[in-house]
Amino acid sequence: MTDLLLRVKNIKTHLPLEEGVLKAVDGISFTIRRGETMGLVGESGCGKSMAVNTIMRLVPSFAQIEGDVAYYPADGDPINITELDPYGPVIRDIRGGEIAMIFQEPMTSFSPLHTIGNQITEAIRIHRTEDKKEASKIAIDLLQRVGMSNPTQRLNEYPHQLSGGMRQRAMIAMALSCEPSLLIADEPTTALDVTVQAQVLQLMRDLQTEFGMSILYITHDLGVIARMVQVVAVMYLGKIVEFTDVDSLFYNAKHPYTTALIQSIPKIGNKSRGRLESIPGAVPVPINRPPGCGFYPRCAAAIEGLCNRIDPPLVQIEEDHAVACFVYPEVVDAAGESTAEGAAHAF
Amino acid sequence: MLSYFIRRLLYMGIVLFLVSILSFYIINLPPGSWIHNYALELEASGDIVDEEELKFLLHRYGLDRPLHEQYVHWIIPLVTEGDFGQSFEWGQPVWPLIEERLLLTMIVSLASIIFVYVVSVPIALYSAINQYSIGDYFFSFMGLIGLATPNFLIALVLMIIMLRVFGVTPGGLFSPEYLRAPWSLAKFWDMLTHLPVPVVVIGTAGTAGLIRILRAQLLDEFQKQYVITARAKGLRERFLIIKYPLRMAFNPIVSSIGSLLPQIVSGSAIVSIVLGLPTTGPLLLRALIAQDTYAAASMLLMLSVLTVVGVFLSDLLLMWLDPRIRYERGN
Repeated sequence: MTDLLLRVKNIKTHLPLEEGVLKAVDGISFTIRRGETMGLVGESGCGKSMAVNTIMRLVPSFAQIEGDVAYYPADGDPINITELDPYGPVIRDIRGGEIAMIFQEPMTSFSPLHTIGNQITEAIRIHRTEDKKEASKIAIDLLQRVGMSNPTQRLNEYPHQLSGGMRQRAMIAMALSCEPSLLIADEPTTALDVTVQAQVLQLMRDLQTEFGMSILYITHDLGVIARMVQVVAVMYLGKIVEFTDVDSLFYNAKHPYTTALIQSIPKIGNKSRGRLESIPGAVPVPINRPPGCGFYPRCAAAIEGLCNRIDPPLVQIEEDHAVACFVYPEVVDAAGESTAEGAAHAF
Repeated sequence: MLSYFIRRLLYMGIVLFLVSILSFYIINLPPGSWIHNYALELEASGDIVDEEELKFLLHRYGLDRPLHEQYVHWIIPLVTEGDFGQSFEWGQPVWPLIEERLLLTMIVSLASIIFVYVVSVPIALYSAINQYSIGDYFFSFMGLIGLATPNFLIALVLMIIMLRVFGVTPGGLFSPEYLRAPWSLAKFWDMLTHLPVPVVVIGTAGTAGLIRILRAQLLDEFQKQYVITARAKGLRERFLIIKYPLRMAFNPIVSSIGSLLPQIVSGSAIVSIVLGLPTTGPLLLRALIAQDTYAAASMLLMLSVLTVVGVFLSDLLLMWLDPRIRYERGN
């Protein structure tokens, strides 16, 4: 059994729209090992949700997907998810059974017309057992483990009868119900208030120790990252711009975008007179984007004539620390090689 | 729950009471009365009606009394004895006149509603799942034609086709031999064979409309997060579409079932005349033109009863379908 669980290699998700092609995800690669917790950070609209939806093949049918997503099951050969039929039986077995997802909005993630129990046991009955009674038993047990009071009664309740925090707990129970190897949590606590956020994060941490699954956190909340994950990928405009472990993200960030993100965290002790730090400008819409680094228009360290012409590749510059920025000579060298290579190929 | 039922029944009573007053008032708004119309008709055919006779007739039918007295004179026996009064135009009691027609109206309407749903739900599902496909465009095109063509025109065309191709005598709901026969299984079967044409004609516009609404509703629901959640659980696409978005899309449609009935009744009057259907539509039209107050008011009241009951039933259906509404009403 390999240690590797998921290898994402150069995936691109392009949406052909009337205004042009929207490059929501533009060539990202990463790997997740068993039991590992990874974070995917970035501002709204940077493509992080689209990236995980590509992994699950939940993107709109008109989206064009490129690249490989290799999933390594506990037994058997790796499966290339990008080659599967998005409605076929293989991907349906993976969804929920191998890779489960928790969504941002607990209010809208459940159907208001069906009971919580119906919606949780449905997943169990697809992946684990056909027996109705056994499925309810598993569901009750899970609801108990995520800290719901009266789990038997909750099974017959409708989503509108639960609070936001309770609904998100039910969502977590549903995602864990089939004991997935990988849990993708897409902004799991964004819609919750702060005290409930803390409870839910603690719960997820406990459950991870218990179930031993890998978790991929999608968030723009650096607090969640600091608390929950081991390795972090920072995304900007559909690309990963920095990849490192959580400590060096906060103490040794390399990319100007990452440093700006860290600086924008409000610090306790600062006088309220001081304005909050922010990154000037906004994330551009990735349609018909000019060449060069995506962060160039907002970057303080931009090198004129280089950053606005060539897109920096992601290059490892320290152990387990990769960055895509021309401030670092290693990146300039790598870009030179690849362009030289490209030039060589042209002849 | 019980208190909700009682409250609803009370509201229904109030609504019907107000409807009866309003319809009685509006029917009597045009100047003159049935007697005056009758006199005019006689004059047109050369007879001379003298003032004395007119006054005598007006008095005899109670038409010289103030409107509220006439109303009381009509409503009290109706409520206490179920007596709908006399029709001036037909010279006989109103109830036997409208009894069978009300029943046939209900049958035709129900059959039309069923036709509308049976045809439009699968088409809307197909169109929504295969949005912008050739099939979707085809059904949209057909639907718009159905919506835009006047019903009576479709009726005429269908009648010609039925006669030329199938040799079925068009028009009416019964073959001549059953027209005056008492109800029997054979008569019922005869009626069923006559139903398709009126049902298709009356239902076409509704079908076209419902396809558009349901298609838009479904497309809207497909985008919702709970559909993606269901898909992320590994559900089969066909199963999840029927279980989640279709059921959600049904809510606004179920809530409009009650109002379909008056729409079909008023919309089908012309069709009924063209097709010679023994429904209330043509009778109501004639009663209104002739200012046959009691007949017209009774028919309007009965149709209101059917509508109010229909709305109540669709509300109950909605409560059964949507736990949020059940919860709200239950408290």
